[in-house]
Amino acid sequence: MPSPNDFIVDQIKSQISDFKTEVEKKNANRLLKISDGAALVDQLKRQIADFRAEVEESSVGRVLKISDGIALVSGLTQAMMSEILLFKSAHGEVAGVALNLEENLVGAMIMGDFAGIKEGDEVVCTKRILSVPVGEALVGRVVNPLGEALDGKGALETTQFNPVEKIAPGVITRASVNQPVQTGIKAIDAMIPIGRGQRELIIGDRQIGKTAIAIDAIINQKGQNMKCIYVAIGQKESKVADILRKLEAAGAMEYTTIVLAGASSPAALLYIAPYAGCAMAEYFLDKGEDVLIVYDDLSKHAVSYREISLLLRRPPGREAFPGDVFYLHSRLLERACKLNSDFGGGSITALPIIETQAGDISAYIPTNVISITDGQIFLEPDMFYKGNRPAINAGLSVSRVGSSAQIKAMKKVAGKMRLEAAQFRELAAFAQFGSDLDEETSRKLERGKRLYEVFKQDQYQPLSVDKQVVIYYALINGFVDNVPVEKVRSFEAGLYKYMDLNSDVSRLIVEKKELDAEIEEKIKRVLNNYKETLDYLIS
Amino acid sequence: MKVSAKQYARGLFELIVDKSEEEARILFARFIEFLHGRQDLNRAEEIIEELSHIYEEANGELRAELISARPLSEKAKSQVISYLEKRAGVGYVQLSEKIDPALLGGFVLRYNGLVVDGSLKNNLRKFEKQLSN
Repeated sequence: MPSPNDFIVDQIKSQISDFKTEVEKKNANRLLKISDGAALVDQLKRQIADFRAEVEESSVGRVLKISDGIALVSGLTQAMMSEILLFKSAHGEVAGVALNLEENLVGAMIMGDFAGIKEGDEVVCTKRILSVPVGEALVGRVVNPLGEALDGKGALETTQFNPVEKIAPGVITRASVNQPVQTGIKAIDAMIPIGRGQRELIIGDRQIGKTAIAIDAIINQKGQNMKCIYVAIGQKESKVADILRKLEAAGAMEYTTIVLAGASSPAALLYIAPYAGCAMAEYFLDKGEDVLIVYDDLSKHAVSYREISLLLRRPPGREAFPGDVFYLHSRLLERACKLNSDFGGGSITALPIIETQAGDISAYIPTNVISITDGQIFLEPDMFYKGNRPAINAGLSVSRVGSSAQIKAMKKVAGKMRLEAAQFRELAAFAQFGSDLDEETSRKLERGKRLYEVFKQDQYQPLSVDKQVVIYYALINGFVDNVPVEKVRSFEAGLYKYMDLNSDVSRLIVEKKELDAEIEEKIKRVLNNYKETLDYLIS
Repeated sequence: MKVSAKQYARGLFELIVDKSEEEARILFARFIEFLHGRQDLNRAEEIIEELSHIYEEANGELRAELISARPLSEKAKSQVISYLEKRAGVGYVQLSEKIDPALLGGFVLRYNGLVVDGSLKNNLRKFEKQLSN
């Protein structure tokens, strides 16, 4: 088959050559004004000489109908599913994605400014499946879901692209979760441990600290061989700017990428944002690295998908979500995985976030995502307003696989601690009604109060695992029992400082990862010495 | 069940393709009544459009539109036609011409939902993109 270029190119060459000089002159003049570079002109000359007129054959259609971000296009008989389409509007080219392929029509969502597109505009197939740039260049950057830089630090220099939609790794490629993700949050690392490759849902009402947990977890990944990706879906740009500043201040942007589809972005961008973030994570996964990815939040993602689906006239179901809203999230979260060593041993740990309305975790999207993930961290308004922050409800929060990933030292102290916490919750509800309590009960209540005091933690203050082990060790072995409840936090803060200055237990726990007799002895000595100083009582 | 215009057209075409003119006329009248019975007469235009597509395809014909900035020479046109005949594998090309000075030079060829864009305008746009990169 002859290429369409062959005979048309010759014709155009002659026409182009006439034009060449004009363009050359025009550009050269313009450039000369702004810079003295003769080199620039030379470069320009070379570019012009190298330019080859090309003729391309492409499949085209026309816009039949356009509504909020969704276009119906006639023709395009060769369009593929999730192929990038180019809309040639009066304001230039706008990209879209084919979503519905019908007999005579293609339904497409538009990823950009759709205001300039009107009925009758030309639409061209690009023969490219929707993909995003990936690579090391993305680390430390803020990008939109199409991989375009938003932080004003210049264009991204990447050569590799990953498809946005990809089938999750299969059974034979996977390994069970066996390495911990240290979130640095005491309550989580002890009671709801997360492993590398796990999917742990963070769920709760608005303004209750869901994002704070995720950001603390990112900050704590410093030096843990972990790349982080924070995907902001429908978040306020001011909030994301704040997060960016906090991450920069904590030095966390050295290993973090922010994928931003803000509240003012079209629904199409919100919809592809988590998949795009996951595609960027998969680059590191394929290299055998560990990645932590935060989807903040999937409620807004489901809502944007509902918008697209309704505009595409797909039949609505419960809460007007389309029938495939479960698959929407399951196919995303299934891509989080721990690969076995034959496949590089990398992992993607996912922390999806879901916002509930008035604590209702039995709504449609929350139940869906709860059933997909390997556990959830449930944040409760009651706890939050009582001042227990992070406001984690230890009763409703679970982690289905993470405990096998805890280091031995933590496992040893956390098991007993979890029991104490559960007993305290039960007794506290019971003790509200009576004042006469036996000695054992009041002892448990007192210790429980101190335990909940230890769970309190300020934002942006993640704590390393060795210190967590020591404080929990102190707690379950009665070292904190005679510290007044209101002094527990200053006791804690003082203890960490004292530990760093006067002992090597931190280093030993990090190295050995377990509590042998020698380390236990050292911890006891540190605790006793520290308590003798009584510093915590005056601060 | 909703029947698409394409399905109507294909059904009708397959019925009348090997019939004599007389028989075809009778069948055509019946088809109109059939459409009326199904309350689909308002789609007749669509069906005719589809029917002509099917007819052209069956007879190895191709309709193409050639848009150029200036009237093209007979030689260039015949080149285009012979190119199309080879490219689409058809025996006859029905070429309609249009003049659009906005193309500046070269031409745009449309057929079968495809576009061959060899216009100077398009090339200049690509050139602009290359320079600005």
